[in-house]
Amino acid sequence: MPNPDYQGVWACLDQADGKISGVSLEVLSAARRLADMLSVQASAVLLGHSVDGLAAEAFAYGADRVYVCDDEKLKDYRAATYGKALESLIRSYRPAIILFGATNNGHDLASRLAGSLGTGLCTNCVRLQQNEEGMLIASRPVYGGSLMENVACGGARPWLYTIHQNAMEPLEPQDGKTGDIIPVKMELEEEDACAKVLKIIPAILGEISLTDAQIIVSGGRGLGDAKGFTLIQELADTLHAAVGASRAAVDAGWIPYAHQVGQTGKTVSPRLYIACGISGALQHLAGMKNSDVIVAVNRDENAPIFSAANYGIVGDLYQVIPVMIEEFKKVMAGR
Amino acid sequence: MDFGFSGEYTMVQKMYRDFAEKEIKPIASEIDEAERFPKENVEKMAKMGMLGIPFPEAYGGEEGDYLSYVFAVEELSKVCASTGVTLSAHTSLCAAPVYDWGTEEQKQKYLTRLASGACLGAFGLTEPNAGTDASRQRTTAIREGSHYILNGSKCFITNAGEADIYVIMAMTDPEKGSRGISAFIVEKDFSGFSVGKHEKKMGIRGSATAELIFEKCIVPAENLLGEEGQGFKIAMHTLDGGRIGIAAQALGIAEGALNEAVAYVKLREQFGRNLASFQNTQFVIADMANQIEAARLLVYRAAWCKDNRQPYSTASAHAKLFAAETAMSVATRCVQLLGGYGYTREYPLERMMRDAKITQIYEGTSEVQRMVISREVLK
Amino acid sequence: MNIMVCIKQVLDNASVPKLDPATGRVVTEGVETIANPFDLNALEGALRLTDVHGGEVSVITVGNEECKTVLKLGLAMGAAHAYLVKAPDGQEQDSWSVSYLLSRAITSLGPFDLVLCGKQAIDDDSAQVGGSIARLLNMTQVTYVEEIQEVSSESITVKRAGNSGSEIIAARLPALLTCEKSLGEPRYPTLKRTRMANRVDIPALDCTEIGADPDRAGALVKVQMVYAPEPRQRGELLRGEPEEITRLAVARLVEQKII
Repeated sequence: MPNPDYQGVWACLDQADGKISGVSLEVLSAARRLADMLSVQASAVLLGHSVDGLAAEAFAYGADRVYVCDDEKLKDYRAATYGKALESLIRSYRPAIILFGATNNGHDLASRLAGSLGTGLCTNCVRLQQNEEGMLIASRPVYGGSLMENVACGGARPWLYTIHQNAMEPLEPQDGKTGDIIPVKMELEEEDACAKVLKIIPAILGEISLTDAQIIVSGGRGLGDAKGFTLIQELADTLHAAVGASRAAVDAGWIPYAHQVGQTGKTVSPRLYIACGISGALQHLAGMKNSDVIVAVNRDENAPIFSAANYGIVGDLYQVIPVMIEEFKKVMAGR
Repeated sequence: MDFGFSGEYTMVQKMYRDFAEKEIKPIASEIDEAERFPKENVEKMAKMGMLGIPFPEAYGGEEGDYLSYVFAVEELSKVCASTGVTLSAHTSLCAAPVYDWGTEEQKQKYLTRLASGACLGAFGLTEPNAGTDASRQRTTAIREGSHYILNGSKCFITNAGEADIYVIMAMTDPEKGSRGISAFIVEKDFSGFSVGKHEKKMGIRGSATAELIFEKCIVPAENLLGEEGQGFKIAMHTLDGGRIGIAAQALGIAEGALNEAVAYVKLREQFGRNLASFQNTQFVIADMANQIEAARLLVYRAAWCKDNRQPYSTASAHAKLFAAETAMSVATRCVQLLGGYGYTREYPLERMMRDAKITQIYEGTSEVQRMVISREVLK
Repeated sequence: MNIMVCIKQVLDNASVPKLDPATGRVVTEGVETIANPFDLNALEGALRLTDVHGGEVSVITVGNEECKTVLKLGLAMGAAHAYLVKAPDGQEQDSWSVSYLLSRAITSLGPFDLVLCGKQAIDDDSAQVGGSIARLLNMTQVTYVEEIQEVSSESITVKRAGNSGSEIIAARLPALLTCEKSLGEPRYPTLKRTRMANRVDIPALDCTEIGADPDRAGALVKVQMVYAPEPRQRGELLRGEPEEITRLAVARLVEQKII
């Protein structure tokens, strides 16, 4: 039940290279909607170095207030320094609810805070709603997306939630909207970090990451060998898509694990997912069935993948994909 | 009477199942198609200690029992019967007689290499004219000073050409008939030993089967296994144990086939419903599951008899006969359940059906098992 | 090097978890269980470290007697010690309470140079326990570790999957890492080790023994309901000439403005 000492909804924003990440805009929009629902204020938290320029964007996406903690020691994301900064911010300003992006850093930070605050954390939320009794219910996929659960936090505040990517639509930005900027000074020592980021290896230029991709082309055991991925890559290049793979293809050593889609790989929800030579094992389906549209190519018309596909092409992928490439090229050239 | 497994056996079973699923299954159809012996499977099994399951640690073994070994062959055969028989021939037909009949020196020299997985083993009894009538051995072994000179040939030898160590039966005294047969340990590099023609088979095409040729093959006298004239006894005793391995292979094939068919009938839709919802499917599946359950009890009991030093000759004949017949009939019915798909090489069932057939034939045909059983019943 | 690896027993993901309509919870009775796959990657990573640098690996889990199965697997793979932490009776568990119990147990059993967890459990997909334990133990925290590169007596260098690429991080020991699959395919246990693991008497520790407050060891997040997501509509199956049906499929995608 509401604790009057703790007020408002915070969105903890991810930023890198002077930009607020896409999922953070979704998180901020979710915070705005939740604040409206609870009739409280929505605030954004910006942690980092040289980040004060980002406040305007936070206001445009619905923040009433932006806490800015600008410190050289926050240049790289590190659990200890970010955790310490946010912990002290929470103890001073007492939010009731904090939302994070369900990213690696988001989970890293939120789980650390849950440990220090001893408060509830719900990760990967796709919906936040109040039920009839006014309880805040978070819906989240479990078992790799095979099931959903509704959960509710109890006990001490603030309650923590991480928001699943592509689950909550960002608001239309309102340019020119402003609010209070609250600069916060922290006593951070380099010693506190306990860790040093020696190097950041950015994702290979031009390579589209699975989790960000709008279109994914995936290959499985049906490719027959590692060379099959050349064809998959060609189709992906045609569509500016990322390349995914089934566990069978990864286990066979045809493609690195980073491309694996499924329960023990990445969970994805692109606009279009093209599965080539993937039979559709349960673990794979769990990781991709939230894609908007699924196209499956398989020789075996009994393959379980067809049960999830909007369009199932029964045929040899080595005959089908070249035609696809040719057709898609025509479509793309016409733009 | 206790039919429940301890947690330990459940873990052992699961361990071999995981291994078979992850390491063996992915290449099962490829090695069948290419008729290729999968050396990589042998290496992986060796690394995991699977080549020495029922032998003492002192000889490089895993200190396990026969039931654990049966689990291994069963789980391998669920996904790849070729790999199942490779392990079975190595363990029951080569390492086991060296363990049971070998001198301490022979065990130190050969069993340690076999059980640790450094070497693969094989067994040579069958000859072109000595199949079921194994006592008619034509291969001869003549003692010359500190050596025996072997001449003759063996056929249908599992692991031939891939194995490093062979247990070979040969006639040392033709006058004495079956009592004139002796057993020898032959290394692949012994002078005068060679591997002949490789058989093109209907099934278990990923296993090596070939002829062994002995042309004045020189075998040191200390490689005589047991005593002169004990060869036939050693061979028969060895086959009693081997039959449990083949029974486990047959059981595995039947279970593997049923697993594939069950997965298929749950998915495949005809007339607007899945095949599993048709009563014919349900009854066929129930009958198959029923036979498999019975086969499993017979196979595990035979292993239990061996582990508990009970007579197991008849028990292993019961197990092999029933499991082999079950494998053949289950695999055939599973192909039928899949219809046209079952007949194609897209699905593993036609392979399983081809593989099942051999279990009714080798290490004593089903008819031989009936002879063993009836002899016991009518005595 | 002393390493503690936290393992969770989860339902076997070979089949779809079933819902009990009466309780609105997932049916667990009679369902096969496995060790959480990412935890086994963590264990493999730990064993590889002790293979090279010496020391011992311990495994720990929170649960009931049945959860000893995953600990036995840990021992069979090569862990030297195993500990079961018994959750207090009548208390529902969540990521918080498990983190709390594990942190207390690790303190009472330690010290450890490293604590390793999987990046998340494949049942609740929380990705929470590792970070919370790290904070409760005031350990250096690095999550989503893809590779361990170097270890010295004071620090460990790892590659982490960060938000905008891979990060090479030098972390001061003691540290808690949560591990990705790429840390290593778990080795197979051997028969010998499996038999040994089944003969080990695994201690079951209660709150008193680990110095935990039973009142704090309960769930903060309560599950209200578990349900199946909306099933996907079965789509269109295209059969025929490969060229023709492929053109047809592409045309549909274009018509519906998916491309």
